[in-house]
Amino acid sequence: MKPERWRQVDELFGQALERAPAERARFLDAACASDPSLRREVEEMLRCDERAEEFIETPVFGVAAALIGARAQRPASDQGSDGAKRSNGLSDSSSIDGSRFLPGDVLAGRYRVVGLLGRGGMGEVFRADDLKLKQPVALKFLPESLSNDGAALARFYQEVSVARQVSHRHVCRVYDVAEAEGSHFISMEYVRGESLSSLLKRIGRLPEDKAVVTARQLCAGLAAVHDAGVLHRDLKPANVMIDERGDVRITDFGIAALADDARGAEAPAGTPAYMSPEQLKGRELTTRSDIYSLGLVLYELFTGRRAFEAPSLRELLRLRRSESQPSSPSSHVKDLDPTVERVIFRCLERDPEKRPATALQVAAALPGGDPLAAALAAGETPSPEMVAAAPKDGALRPVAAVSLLAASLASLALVFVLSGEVLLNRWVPLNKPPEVLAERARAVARAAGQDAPPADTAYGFEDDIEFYRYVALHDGSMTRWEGLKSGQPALIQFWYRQSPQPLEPRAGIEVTPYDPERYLYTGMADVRLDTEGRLIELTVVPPELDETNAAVAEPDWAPLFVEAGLDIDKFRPSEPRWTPPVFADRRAAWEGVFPLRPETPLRVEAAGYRGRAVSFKLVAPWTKPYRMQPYLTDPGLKRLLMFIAAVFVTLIVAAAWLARRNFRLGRGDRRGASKLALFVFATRLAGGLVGASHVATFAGEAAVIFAAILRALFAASMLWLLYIALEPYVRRRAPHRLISWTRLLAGDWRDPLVGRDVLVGVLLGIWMNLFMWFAELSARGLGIAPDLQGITLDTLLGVGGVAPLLLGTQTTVPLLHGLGFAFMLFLLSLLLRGERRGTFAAWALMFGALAMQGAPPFALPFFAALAAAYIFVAARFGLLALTAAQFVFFMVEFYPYTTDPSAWYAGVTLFAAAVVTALAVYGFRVSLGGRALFRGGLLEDEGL
Amino acid sequence: METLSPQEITKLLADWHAGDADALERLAPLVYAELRRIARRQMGREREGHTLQATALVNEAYLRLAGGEALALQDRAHFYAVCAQVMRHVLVDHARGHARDKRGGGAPHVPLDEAANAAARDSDQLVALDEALRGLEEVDPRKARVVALRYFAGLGIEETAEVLGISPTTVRREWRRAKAWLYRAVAGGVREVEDEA
Repeated sequence: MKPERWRQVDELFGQALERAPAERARFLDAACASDPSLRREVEEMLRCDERAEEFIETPVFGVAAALIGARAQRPASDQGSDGAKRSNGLSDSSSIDGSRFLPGDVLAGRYRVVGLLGRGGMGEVFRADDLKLKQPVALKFLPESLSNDGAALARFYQEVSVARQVSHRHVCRVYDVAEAEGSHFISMEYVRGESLSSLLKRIGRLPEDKAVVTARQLCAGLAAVHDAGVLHRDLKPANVMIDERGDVRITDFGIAALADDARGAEAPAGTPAYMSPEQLKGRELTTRSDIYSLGLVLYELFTGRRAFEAPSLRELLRLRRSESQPSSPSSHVKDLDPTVERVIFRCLERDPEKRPATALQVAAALPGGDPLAAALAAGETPSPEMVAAAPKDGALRPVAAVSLLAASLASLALVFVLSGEVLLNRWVPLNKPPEVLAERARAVARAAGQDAPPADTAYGFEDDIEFYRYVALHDGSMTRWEGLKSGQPALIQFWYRQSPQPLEPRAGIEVTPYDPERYLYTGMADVRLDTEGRLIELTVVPPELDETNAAVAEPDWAPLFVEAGLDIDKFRPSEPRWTPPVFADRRAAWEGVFPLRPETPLRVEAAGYRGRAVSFKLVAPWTKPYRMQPYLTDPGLKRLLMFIAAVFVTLIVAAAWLARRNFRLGRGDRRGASKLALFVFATRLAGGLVGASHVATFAGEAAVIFAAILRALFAASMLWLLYIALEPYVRRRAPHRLISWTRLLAGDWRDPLVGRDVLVGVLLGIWMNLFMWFAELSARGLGIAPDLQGITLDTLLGVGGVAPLLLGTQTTVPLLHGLGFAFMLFLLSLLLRGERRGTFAAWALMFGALAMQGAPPFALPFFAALAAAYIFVAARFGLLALTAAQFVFFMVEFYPYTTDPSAWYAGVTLFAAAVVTALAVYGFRVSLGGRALFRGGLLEDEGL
Repeated sequence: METLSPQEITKLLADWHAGDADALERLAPLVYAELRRIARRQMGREREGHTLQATALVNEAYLRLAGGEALALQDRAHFYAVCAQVMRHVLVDHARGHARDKRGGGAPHVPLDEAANAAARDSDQLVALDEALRGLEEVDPRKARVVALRYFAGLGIEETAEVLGISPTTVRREWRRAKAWLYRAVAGGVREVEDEA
């Protein structure tokens, strides 16, 4: 009956009751003349009135009171609760019986209990009011056993202190920890709503579109939890609240492990229905364990069924340990989106490494889920996690992957083939390893009277750039480098120093051939040899205080000529012109020619003290008196250097400003930057320490270590600064260039996209060299006198030379290059208002820079191609590919490739080639994303 | 152990009256717990055979919650209404549980005193009444309130009048008509019965 109608009925009903029963009929005749149905209603009410005389006259209050009293006496144990929290205090008010606290109790002087929300796996959960902040809270109590365990309690506090940093729309906030009557409890956000488990129990499964929204919120919340460095450890529908608006709130993260503490190791906490395989086995948990549980929750969300179900706990455990897989979701829900099923099964991989790395990746893989596109469309800067989670199916088709790998390996082979034509180390005889040459040098020093064993020695290779320039300038023939093959004159020289005192490296780094301290102590000897071990230069420091009173005499020069591979009889004496760097009482000079190069004149300058040689030096036409070189004679060069210094400082200041801004606005990827900085610090420090010239004194070694740390720290902080300054802009404008990069930074080195970009980078890196080599070779084809490609001679020194290079320059510079270039692309696109124009401008700039190095016109097409390849990779594949390319470029450029396996430095060659190959194979394997290369078991068939 | 201050009780009561369902949600457990605490004590004092003095229970709960001070009349009315709600909830809850037991449900049976057993006997009727009362709340809230106070909180005519701020005569009239309405709803009407007879 409608209220209006009832009011009508009630009015007449009341008036009728006022009258004596006999009069009522007449009254109604009059009142309801026009409405017979009204009359029937009132008559009905009157009849009911007669019957209802005693009806509900006895208040039921007494019964209620008795019930209440009876319940008050009931033992607490029969107060069962399903554990699923319900926030409605009224409907659950009866369950307050037997709980530890009663409504109205004030705990810890701050929380007034309103009611019991439920009893979970750990303890009771109350609804309460925070009296200080005047807001409702939920209080979750810990099991008693835990409150008494100091270590577990400490862990609990630690966990909560991390958990309370998690602030996210889809995560139930944790506020604080407190203690009341000896029990510890957590105060957390009070969520009005119901748990996902009770919701699913009530309505079965969610409709697919709503389930996708819920799933995405779940992923976002879980990602935020992981972001804070917390593992959930007990993700299940009962721990997912759906609030009044239907939004997800994840609760109870991080604290589940404490239930384990409380229970002891044998029985796993909670229900095993939602545990990952590794959790069931009691292994260490990672974020991917939560991803597994997430997969089970999603399974239930989309199908309304538990993935694993068994009638009893024991059978459930048996089921879970039997490694069985749940039935496919689509077998329960016919028209389920296949992508949903794929995501769920990816989460449920038994091997954690095969599961999605982050919850955001799960979200991204859900139907219609590209958070990156959404963020870009909304004009927001996507977070690094979002970038990493972009749904980019990176797996290369097997054909593409195989082609790239084959191209890389073929290109590397080409490097070997062509190395004999272009590489310096293949033109200069390198028959003696540095140890042998050092022994030769010591023999020379001994021959000059330095018999005492030295306290310290240092040596290395150096190329004579003056000789190279001289030949390049004076000889335009196609065969101008043929003469190098004799090793005399020496294009690569071996320098050696021995000292009766420890040699202290300059600036704590390494001993160099030109240290001013090289003539410091009496008995120090500097020896310079060609690669065949022939003497080029010798200096010995004479006694500071000479009390022997030996007579001034002419030393015997002949043995030194023999050491130099010269015949003293073929030289005619001449007037000495070059003064020795040490004191001498005799000087002598000769003139002649290089024996194997008669057209090139050669002077020999020598000096002696008391009948012993202190200085011996071959002076070729290109030899410069380096002790009297003027400082920066060219004012243009001086200005250029000053300009470069100014640019450098300006860039650092600008980067610092940008970094500060980004840091304050929370834009910078602090975690990524810190990881990078730490990586650079660690590698630089390791490389620096391995490569440094160590000293056997405390002060000297302390200086070495200090310098290594300082340099590593400088490189790391510069990179950190630049990363914070530049990366956000790239991420904002061109996040697709950072996807594989951020995934790798997040530790996901098995991501197919990472593999693809590394593989592409390897190929580009090799070709950056090959383009230049081809330019050179085509020049020779055009009849232009050849040039040679230098190598980094430190690599010839073995581990001590390779380590600082590999872990220093070769690692840090590619990072800076890649980052700087990606930023430049962004900046140019911004300035020129267009991605296409910006990319073209970047190409033009790079091409210009290459061409300006004095490249002849025939080389330009190669440089144009090189720049185009580089820009293409930068724009299409992004930062990781660029960084890998630069690294591999160095891996080819720095190292002495040779096809002679018996060469003493073949080990270095092999190492370099192995690194490149390993990178290529790694990229290839990972880029396939676990796909089989051969379909249909081709290999197996062959085997049988 | 602390209790709510009278001011806070007042505020909650006023909030509830103003339509804030949340206030009732928070008041109800408080009132319930208070009732239970008193009941527990009384049960301890008076052994079997003594039924609880209902009015005394409510009054004591009221006094305790109000901190010994008299609340404004309006708030007192709301308080009794809350009591009525709580009692109704307890009863209906119990009746539902009992009905479930009869159908073979699992909760362990708890021996109650005679009055409670009586209620249990009529459990189906109580559930029906609860539903009917809900119907009445929709078409005629004042009548529903009168019934709740009289039947569930055990108030007399005068008390009810005082609480609702209407005259005792009105209460009497409303009560009679509400009874008829409920009877009709619970018994399914009289006309049909008559027709059959």
